[in-house]
Amino acid sequence: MQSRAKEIEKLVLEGASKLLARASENHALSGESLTSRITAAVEKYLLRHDENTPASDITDFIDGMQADDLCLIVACERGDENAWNELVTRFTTTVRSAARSASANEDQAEDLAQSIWAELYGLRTRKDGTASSKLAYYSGRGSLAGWLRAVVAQLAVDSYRKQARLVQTDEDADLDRLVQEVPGDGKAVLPGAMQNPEQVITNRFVESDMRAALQKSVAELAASDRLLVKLYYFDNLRLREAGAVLGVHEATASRRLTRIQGELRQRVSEILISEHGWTKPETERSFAEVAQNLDADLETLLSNRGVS
Amino acid sequence: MKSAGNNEIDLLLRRLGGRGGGESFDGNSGPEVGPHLDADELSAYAENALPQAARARYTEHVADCARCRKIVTQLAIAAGVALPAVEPVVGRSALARFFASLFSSAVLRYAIPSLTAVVILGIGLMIFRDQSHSRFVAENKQVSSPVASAPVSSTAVAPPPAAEFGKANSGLVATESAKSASRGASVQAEQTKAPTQTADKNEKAGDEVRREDAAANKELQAKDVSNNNAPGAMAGAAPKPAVANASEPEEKREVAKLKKDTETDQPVAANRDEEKQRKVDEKGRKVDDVSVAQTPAKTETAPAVGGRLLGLSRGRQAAPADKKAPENTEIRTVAGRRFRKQGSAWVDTAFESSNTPVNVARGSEQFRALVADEPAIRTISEQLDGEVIVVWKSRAYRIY
Repeated sequence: MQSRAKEIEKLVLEGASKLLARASENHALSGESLTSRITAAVEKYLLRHDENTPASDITDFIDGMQADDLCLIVACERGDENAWNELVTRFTTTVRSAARSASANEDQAEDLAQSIWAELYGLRTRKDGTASSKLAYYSGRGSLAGWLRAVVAQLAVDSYRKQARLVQTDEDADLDRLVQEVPGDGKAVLPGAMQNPEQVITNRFVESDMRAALQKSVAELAASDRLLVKLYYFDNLRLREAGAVLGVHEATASRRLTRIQGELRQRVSEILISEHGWTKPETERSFAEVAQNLDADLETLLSNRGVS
Repeated sequence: MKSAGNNEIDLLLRRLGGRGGGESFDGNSGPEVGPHLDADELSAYAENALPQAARARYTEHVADCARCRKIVTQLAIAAGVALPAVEPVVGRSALARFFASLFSSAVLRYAIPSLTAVVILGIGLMIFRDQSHSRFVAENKQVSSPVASAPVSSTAVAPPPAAEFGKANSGLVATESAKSASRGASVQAEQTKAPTQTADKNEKAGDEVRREDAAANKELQAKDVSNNNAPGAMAGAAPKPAVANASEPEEKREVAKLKKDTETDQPVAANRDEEKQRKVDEKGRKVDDVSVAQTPAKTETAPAVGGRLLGLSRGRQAAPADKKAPENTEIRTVAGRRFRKQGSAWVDTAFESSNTPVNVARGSEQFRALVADEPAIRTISEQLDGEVIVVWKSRAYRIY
């Protein structure tokens, strides 16, 4: 155990030296000044998942860190004024841009950006009285610009959710009421389904079963496949964007999606037959009917909303 | 069926996961799914900068957490990570991929029609060439046809040696190559340029020879007559050469001998197309055309007497036959070359005095090098004793 700890310590020291050598500006930092942060990153991303991570993986991980960004952040933490100036100069635009994207207007964006810099400076204090700076959470694995955008986005989402708890727009309420209706809930009925009550009831039972089966099927997918489905269908991303999140090319994402659709269809059929007592012909027929009805319902819904 | 099923699922997912529905369908609108990723994890995930194990764990969370998924999506799009276009194919060697690419549908789509076109072109070219050859042969026959229909003198007697040559050469004439046939065509063309009456007479003379010899070399005799007309030769006059080509006295002597042998009183004009002969010799032809014909003559009744035909090569097997003929003792054909005995030396008939020969002593290093490169010269030097002057590939060699 001791030897493992010493081995890791040695690897981290070697890695810190290489990082400093790689950095275009080391801000007068020593290898030891980086070791604590590198050790934390190794622990977080490698050893937490596998204590016996090979030394080569640890070395590769450290070698893949952002040397310039890490040195800049560590120098800022140590109170280096030049480093702070450089940080502000280089990343003001990035922070402001991210704040604009996450805000409804320019004032909110400006407030958000200022709050970010306050977080970075450590103007807030912890419960024990020490200054709390978000700089301590930057590991150096990703780019500093990406990390700053993530900080801005997190703050924006948190801020939005706080406000969303207090106020819910009429539009969202209407949508929730229209879309999330299920039989037996006592909610409003889709306008387009009013023509034939018997058929509407039948369709709703069919749709309910199919929805449950589909939900279960999606939940059973592998994490990466489930993520793709949700990115594409729920978050309405394009395949190129979904691929960027998954770290694959658009074409790969497309092939994956086609495969997932086939798997989902097969799994939904199995669930409908085994858990809901459907026959295979009923399953085949209902797929087409439900899809058709859903499509018609959506059109009706949109047209009615347009009238009102 | 599969794509139709996929379309149905696609519609279902779009509808159920649509605006508002996705959140409820996701099941994350209420309680959060575990602790959210921090900013460092989110940015590292979005930039695809995490180790595989860590990334897989975070993927589980991102797939089920709409909040983190949204941030990751924003960061990933902002980062604009460059991604490989194609996932690496595992399990196939580079060689297998190469051969697979050779027989891929994209390649075969163009390769098969191209190969077919090449094969068709090749076949067409071969057929065209065959037809061209047969046309040339037909033209030769056209030359002989009117001659055969010309009036024939009953007194025309073919010389025995010529008959012998004719018999010996008939088979070779019949199997003469296409190039020889084309040469015959060119001779015919020249023949048509000659004065009409003279040409007619010459053809008649050639016909006489053919009839008397009944040999295939008849048409060859007729060919070379056209350029060798002697204006002074008259029907019924004593035989004498009409035109003497000063550059080739040997040929004239042979013609004179032939004329003597025929024992006819027909006037004979003999000549030889030297330029044509040279071309023939340079190409290694085995056929030499020497024709003797009667000149014009305003007296159409004068029967023409054919001359003789020399030197259709018989190859090595035919060499003894040459020796039998008294006129042919001075000429031998070896390895496709004709040699004339001049003193103690054998001289290639294609040799010209302007072509200075390279002296090569038998058995010398130069000789060995020469015969190593040109084995035919070895054959020539072995079959011909003494000094030999041979023209080979436009260069003259004196082998002694």
